[in-house]
Amino acid sequence: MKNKLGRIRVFKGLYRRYAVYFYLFLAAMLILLGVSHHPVIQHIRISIGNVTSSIVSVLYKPFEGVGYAVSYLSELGDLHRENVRLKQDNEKLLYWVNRSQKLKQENERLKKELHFIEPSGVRRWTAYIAADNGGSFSRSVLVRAGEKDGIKKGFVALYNEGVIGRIVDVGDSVSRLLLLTDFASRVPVFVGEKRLLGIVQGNNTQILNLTSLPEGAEVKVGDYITTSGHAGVFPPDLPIGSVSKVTEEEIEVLPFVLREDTSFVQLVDYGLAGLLETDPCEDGK
Amino acid sequence: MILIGYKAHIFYFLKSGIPFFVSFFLLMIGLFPVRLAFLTQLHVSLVFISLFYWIIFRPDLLPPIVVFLLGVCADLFYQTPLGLYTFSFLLFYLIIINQRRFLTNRSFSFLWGAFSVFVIPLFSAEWLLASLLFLHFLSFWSMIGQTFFIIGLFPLIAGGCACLYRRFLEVDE
Repeated sequence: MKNKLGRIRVFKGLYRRYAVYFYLFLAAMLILLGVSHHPVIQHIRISIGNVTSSIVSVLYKPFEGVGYAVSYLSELGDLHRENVRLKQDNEKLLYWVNRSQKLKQENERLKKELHFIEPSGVRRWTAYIAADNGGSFSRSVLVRAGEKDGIKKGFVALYNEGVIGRIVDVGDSVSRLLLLTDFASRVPVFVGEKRLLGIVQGNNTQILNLTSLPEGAEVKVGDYITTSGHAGVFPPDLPIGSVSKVTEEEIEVLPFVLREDTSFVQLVDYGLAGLLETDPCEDGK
Repeated sequence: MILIGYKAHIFYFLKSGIPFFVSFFLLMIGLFPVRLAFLTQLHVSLVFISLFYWIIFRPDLLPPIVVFLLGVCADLFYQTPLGLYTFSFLLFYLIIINQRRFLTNRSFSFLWGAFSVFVIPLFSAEWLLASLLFLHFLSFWSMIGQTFFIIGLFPLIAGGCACLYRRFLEVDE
């Protein structure tokens, strides 16, 4: 009995002394496990997301007002500049309203003449953003809609018809939306009026990078970027953003929709979810 | 007010759990769906302030297993490479616990300075490790911005921890 107690005491002493090293070793093992990108880890994460999104919604309630107040105050400083910008935008928009009306009529007339059949089966859901589970190393959010609502992996997330990201994991009542700005996000796109093929890549900041353009391609600031439909993850011609900076080293793209612009998104089923498993742009994150 | 029986046990459990609850709450704050670009940089980093404070003042209430569990929670809640925050938290624990004797009985501004000294290389190492795991250099300026923002928030969060410590935990020592 005395020996047993002694052994326990020795064990406790050793544990107290080396516990932190033991847990550091376990953490290193976790890193190795994470590198393997085992689907079970993602399954655990999204299952935990179901619980955390509920906890966050309860904890966030008292702070919601504070969040709005900070947001309001931070916008106050830019009020004059914002007003000037909005007036300029308004002038441009009025021009585009007239132009689009004419184009719409022309489009309808041409469709009628060509006996064009409209694609059917596009379904839409609107879901709130439940939690921001990104950070410096990733850009993703949890949306409050999951398997039980009919959400599937590969659904495209839009806000004001601009792409914000796509669903990469689906839980019971929440889904993970990978934002375009995430480092793992790569979208094949058309650039400008010439519809040059390229790839828009996230880099965990608010700006996207345009890469893989054809040799000698000429890209200028303001060029419109839309999805190309290659790889079968996004349908063609969804607005992504516009070129904001062109240097010799890189081309930057400002997305039309940023995470901060909205607290809800529209999830759209273009019937492409099944192709996601073979998506060559998916890097397994 | 004197508590007896199970109420005393519950009160003692809650009191002892303050360092964990505070750290866990800060972990959850990072998940709040706030529509402010600069706040999206914060996330898990807030927890380092809480860890720093409690490791110095009540390490008995924040043993390595609790730090490990907080790290696992951070890794699972956020889309970071698995084990990254667990490793960072434990490394931070190891550094602070070894320097604890130089940090106790010091002024608040000294602690603030010390936190800055510890957190800059730690965040840099974390950024480097994440870049290695992604096989690509992540935004360096984003990491720098996050580091200085956290240093700036230290008085607010550590001040809150100090209030809790003085109100509930100082007399137990």
